[in-house]
Amino acid sequence: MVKPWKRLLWIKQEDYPDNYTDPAFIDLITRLRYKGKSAKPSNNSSSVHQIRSDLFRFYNKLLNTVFVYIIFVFIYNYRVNPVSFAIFVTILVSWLLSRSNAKHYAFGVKSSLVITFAMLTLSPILKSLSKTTASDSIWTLSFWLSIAYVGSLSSNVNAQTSNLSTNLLLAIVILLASRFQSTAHVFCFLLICVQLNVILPNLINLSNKYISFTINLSVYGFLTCTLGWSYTFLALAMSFFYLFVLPQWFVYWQTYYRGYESSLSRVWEAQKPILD
Amino acid sequence: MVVYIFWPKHLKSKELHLNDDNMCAISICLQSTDHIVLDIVPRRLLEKEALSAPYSIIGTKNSGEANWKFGEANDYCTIEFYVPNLKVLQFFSLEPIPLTQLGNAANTTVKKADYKNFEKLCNHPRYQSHDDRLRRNLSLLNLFDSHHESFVKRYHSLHIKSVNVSARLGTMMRKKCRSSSLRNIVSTFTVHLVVNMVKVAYSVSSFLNWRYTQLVNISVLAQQIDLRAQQICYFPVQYLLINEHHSIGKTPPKIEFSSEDSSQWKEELPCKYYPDYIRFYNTVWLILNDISFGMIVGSLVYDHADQISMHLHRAIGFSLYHFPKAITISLSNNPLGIKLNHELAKFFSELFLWVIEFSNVLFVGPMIEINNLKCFLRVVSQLGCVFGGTFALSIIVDYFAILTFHIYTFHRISSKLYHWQLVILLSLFHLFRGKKNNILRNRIDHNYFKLDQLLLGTIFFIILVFLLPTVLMFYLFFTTLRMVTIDVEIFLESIIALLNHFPLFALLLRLKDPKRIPGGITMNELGPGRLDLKSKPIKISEMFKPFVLLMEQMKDIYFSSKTSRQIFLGLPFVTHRRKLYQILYSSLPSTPIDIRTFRNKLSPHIKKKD
Repeated sequence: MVKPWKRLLWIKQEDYPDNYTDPAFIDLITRLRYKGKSAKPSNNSSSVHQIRSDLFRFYNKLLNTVFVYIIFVFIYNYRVNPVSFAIFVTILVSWLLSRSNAKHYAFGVKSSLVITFAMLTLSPILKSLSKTTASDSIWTLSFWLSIAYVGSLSSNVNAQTSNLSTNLLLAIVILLASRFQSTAHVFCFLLICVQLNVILPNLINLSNKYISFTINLSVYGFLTCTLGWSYTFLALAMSFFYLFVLPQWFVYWQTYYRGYESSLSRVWEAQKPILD
Repeated sequence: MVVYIFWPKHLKSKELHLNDDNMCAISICLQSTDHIVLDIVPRRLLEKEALSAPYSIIGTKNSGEANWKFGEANDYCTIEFYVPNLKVLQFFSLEPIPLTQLGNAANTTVKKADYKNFEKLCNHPRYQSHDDRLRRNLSLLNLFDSHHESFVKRYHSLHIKSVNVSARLGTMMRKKCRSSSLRNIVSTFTVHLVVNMVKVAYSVSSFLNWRYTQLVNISVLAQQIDLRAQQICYFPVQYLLINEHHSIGKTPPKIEFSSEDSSQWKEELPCKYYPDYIRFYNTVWLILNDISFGMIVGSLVYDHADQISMHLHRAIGFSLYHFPKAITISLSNNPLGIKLNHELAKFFSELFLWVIEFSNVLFVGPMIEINNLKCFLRVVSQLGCVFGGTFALSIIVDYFAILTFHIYTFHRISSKLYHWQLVILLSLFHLFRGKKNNILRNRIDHNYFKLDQLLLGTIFFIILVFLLPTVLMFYLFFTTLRMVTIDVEIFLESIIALLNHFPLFALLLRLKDPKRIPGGITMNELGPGRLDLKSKPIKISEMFKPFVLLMEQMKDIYFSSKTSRQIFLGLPFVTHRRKLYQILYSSLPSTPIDIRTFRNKLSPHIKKKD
């Protein structure tokens, strides 16, 4: 009985003739053929619901970051005074913190105080940072930084927000804040954005029905008010595609198309070269 | 087997003179050398006397014949040469004589690890020179005159001697003078004077080179004084070295017939002390040249001190006060259209403006006021007349360095700020990516930062990124100013180096009599079986080698890609002046000779003169 043939790189296998075919291989191929089609539906594809919930989480996070731009536009274009909103958000966050103090001690009183006072001290410097730079370069920079930020977000449920994504977000916020004329505006803007995007997602679940509904409503409402219905429709259509069509399509691909090549190559080809 | 016979060219005229006689050529042949023809004598004189080793008859020529007949057994090849006149220090040498002790400077670059392999390579027979025979032949050739004299002494009958009356008289007078008591007093006096001067010079040199405050590195004047002190220390040693071997031309070497090894001749040849001879006279000549140069330039400057000081006042005032001030003000107002951070630029320009004003009031202004300049120029020119042009130039270089001190401080301040900013920026960039520099393992690792650390780090990072162009502009401006002052200093220092170490003596020797600085031998073919041996003088580029090396070193320190990297990173230029010019000090020993050893060397001479 000959040993089952294994594909070993760079090792001359003397025992087998040149046109040798392992019987186990023929078995595998016949099993793979199914109703004349080339692949059998794989059993271990994920469910549509699972994928949709993952995508939904990412979608909510994305919408959360749009708040940064909303607040910026309010302060820059519409010259709304952000102090009241900042106080409101601060009270909200501190109430949430004291409610779940035991679990999330990462942000204790001391560190929040440090952060607050540091931002307060550095606001005048931040205000004067890019005074001489043209607005267009700032918008371009922040656009590319946002693309980088979205790319660095991880979709894993249990992972904490990575350092890089936090830093990128902070970079965007500081860049935009340098456009303001008043120190108080800079400080409030910083405070709001940090609280909304960094602290809040750790305290509440963004995929909660009510919260998600509020976020969606505010974002699309703002979009309608500022840019008009056409843009809202476009955004809604893209979100609809993303949330309802994409998971189905992905699962279909996973079931019917991912199986054949990978199952064949995973068995009959060494994943890592065995160097002896 | 070819036998080589060395044939002196002056014998050809003697050959023509004795053409109608049957002639024999007498040669000397020591152990492991070839035959060297000493003389041509008529055969009839030889019939009475027989020659013993190492002399022998190598060839014969009958009257009327054209060519010499040597023995039939072997192939003979004659090598013709002009006899080197040892009294004027002409000689043959296979390698160029070492005009500089470059080994001192070159040794520092050899690493210990590489040296063992190099030794192994050198010990392989393939890379060893097999020119022993040629060397012995050449040393025999160099001592031709003394061998000829001893040959003549042994076989009187073969020569007619003419008495040189004037030479006899001269030697008689010299012998008489040697024993006079006046000479004793004068010699002891000079010896004590020289010893005291050497003591003073040695202490000055060690003071200037004191380990804790290396004055030699800071001031050019100190370096110049140190050089002169070391030269003074070395003069007596050189003089002794030269005179110990001075008797070589006067007494012929005794030939021991039992040991005919000609390698012992090498020690008595001028090869060993000749470089010192050249260096000694070169230094003396250069010092005299220096003083005369100083006198010429000094008197010129003294006469025109008024005009010169007026022009200098205007030029220096503009370049050291008005120009930096103007540029600093313009840097705070968006120079060249580059948008700088307004607050920071204003702060920097105010800071530097204040320092410029302060330095102007404190030292630049007084130093370049017309009257003070006049006074300074007059003093410098007078000092230059007394001590030499190099002294005056080094004072000028130091004066200039003090004048531009404020630019030096600007450069240091701005380079430090820039460097710190770069370092902090790099570290914060690692934080931005979420990583930290692991010093223990010397790599970048992932780190779990707390939120406040992240926030503060990112804020500082962005602030520093935006402030970088401002700092960079100021840094570049001051660095260019500093580079310009360094260029001026280098230019003046090169002139001083040229005045101090120009190989004048060797060059003039080369012009006057190329045979006195041999750099090798050449052999040309004159005809079948005849070669012509000539001495090749040292190439002029060889003589200037230390300068070329110095220029390359300076280029490496100030104008290479290493410099650009240093500028880019904000690191300062640190030059050790002593190490830079070490290559030129190669004509002196690396440390001045201790006074006690010097005394010991001198004492036998004091006793001899008594």
